[in-house]
Amino acid sequence: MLETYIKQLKLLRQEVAPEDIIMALFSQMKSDIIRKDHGAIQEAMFKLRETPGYKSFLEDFIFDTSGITPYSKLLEKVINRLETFSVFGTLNPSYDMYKLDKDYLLNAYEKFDTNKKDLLARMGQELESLIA
Amino acid sequence: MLDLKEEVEKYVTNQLPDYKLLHIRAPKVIHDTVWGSNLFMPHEVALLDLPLVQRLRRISQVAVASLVYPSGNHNRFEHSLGVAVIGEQLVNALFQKIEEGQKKGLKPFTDVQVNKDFVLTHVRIAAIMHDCGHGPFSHLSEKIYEKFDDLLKVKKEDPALSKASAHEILSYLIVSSNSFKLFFEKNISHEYGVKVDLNLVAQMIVGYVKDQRFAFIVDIINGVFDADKLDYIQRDSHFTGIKMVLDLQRLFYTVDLVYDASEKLRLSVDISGVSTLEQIIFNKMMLFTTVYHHHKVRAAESIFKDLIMKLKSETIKLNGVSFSSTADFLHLTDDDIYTLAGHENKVIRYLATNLRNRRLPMRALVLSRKTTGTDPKSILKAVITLDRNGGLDILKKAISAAAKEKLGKDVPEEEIWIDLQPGPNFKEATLCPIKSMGEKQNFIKLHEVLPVDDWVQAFSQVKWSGYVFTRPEYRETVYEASKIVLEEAFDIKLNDFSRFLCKIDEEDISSNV
Repeated sequence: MLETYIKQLKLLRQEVAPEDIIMALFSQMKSDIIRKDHGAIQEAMFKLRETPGYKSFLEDFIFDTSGITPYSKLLEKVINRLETFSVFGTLNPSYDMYKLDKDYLLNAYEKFDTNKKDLLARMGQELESLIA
Repeated sequence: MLDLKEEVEKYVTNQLPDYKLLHIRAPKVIHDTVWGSNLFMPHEVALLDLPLVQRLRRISQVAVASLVYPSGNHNRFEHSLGVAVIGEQLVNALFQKIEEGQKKGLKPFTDVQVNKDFVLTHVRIAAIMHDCGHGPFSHLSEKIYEKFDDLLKVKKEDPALSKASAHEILSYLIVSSNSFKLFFEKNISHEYGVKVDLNLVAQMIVGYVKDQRFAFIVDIINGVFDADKLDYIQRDSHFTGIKMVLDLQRLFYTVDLVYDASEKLRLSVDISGVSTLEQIIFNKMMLFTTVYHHHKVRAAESIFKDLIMKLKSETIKLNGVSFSSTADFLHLTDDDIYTLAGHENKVIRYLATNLRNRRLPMRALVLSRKTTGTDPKSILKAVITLDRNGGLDILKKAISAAAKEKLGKDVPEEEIWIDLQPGPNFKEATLCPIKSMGEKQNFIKLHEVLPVDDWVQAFSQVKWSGYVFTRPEYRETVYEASKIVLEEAFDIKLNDFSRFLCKIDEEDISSNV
């Protein structure tokens, strides 16, 4: 039975999770050091979601636009997780930059088929310029 | 089958028609441990008397935290009163500034199109009603019903609810129900001569701005430094005994208005009030790490969750409801859960008795950055997987199977609980506009003034823990079995801290709290 359960857990991990989409996008950035600013990331992701052709990837990220900047609870949760487990490393002492673990992020990117990878690559680069 | 809106309508209808309001002749002074003596107007007292609001006396503000912090027995009712009191103070402070600004002909104050009485009436009623949608043990039951299909459906369909949390949606549906509006019109508006727009009250509760003129009023009840937060930080810290400082007077002196990008007037703080906002963020961090995420609190929460899921899966009725609708939680309060300690179903009785008598499972394994040494990334894989539907159940089964197959020991999967803390968010830093006249938009984000959120986030992240809990007699086995499963399924290589932090080896010589 143990073997079956382990297999089931591994299968579950193969499903595309919101974290995978975000990791895939960040894996396509040219730089591995980017500005750490949740507000800027939220705003950039919102713009990306509003771009024709991109919404299908980002549908789960519902943005509240009633405040001074668009805000998605799910995006906040994902970014926090990536920080907590050092995929987005925070650089001491100022904490104002992320050091991206590109090797780890690329694993998420590899989950997608070729067509989606192309789209994700474009989106990732646009995201980078929006955050910069 | 009724949809959630209809279910809530039915609930409100059942609560109100037979209820005869006593006529309240005069304002009442209500005493509060945190905010002292405060005056409530007759129509507010009439509202407080409704069974819809009185049930909040039997819903704990901090869920099961009193099992760890014994004096944390405050309830949602007293919190709602506190929000009304703080809401009024915010309105008073803000209108002092607005009126001074208007006398001098200054923008944005000259653009305020509502008067103070209107704002005060609506803020106080929204405060009184804002938590009437809570179920037993507040956010504990919310974490269960927020995933119910009927709630997700209404959230998707109504744009006013897209950012609202689950209990806010229930409060919104109660306040905007036809039954409540009819009752209010007849028994409160007419009787006490108060005009209230209940649609606006409902929108304030969920933080939805429909009418541009009312954006800053909505912010007072559901914004980045709303009256709700200002009360719960003070109240939760006071009653749990965790000492905190929050300089509200300074906040009131510096409260202000700014235009957002779409020209709506929003509640803001002058740059000289930033230190109070920092206190809010630091206090929130401390409450999360010391109270809400205390491992014993998380253990009790795991028991509660199992209890409700057991009732739901076996369609066992409690107080006439079987958890088929989110609205079923409105029929229950904390005491209903404790009555399950006498239930005929053995498992239900066992779980409820353990919760009531504080016989909580203990830590068998701790998962954290500290317990995986230099590679915390391996935990991420587990966290993402276990978030998927059914993930936690499979892990429990796997640990039980590993105990049997690898260690030759029997540990029923029902005696294993897994908890992965959600991280707190510090959105205040991103969403709070700080008035700063030199800026292009006349405001700046708190994060841009001082990235306080980055520091508290770093602290919270280091403190993050996941737990495997079990009964004392199984700890040794569950530790070994969990370690095997986590390594095989997720490549997590745990160090000895994963065991030391559970104090398994100190069981006989220390207090193990």
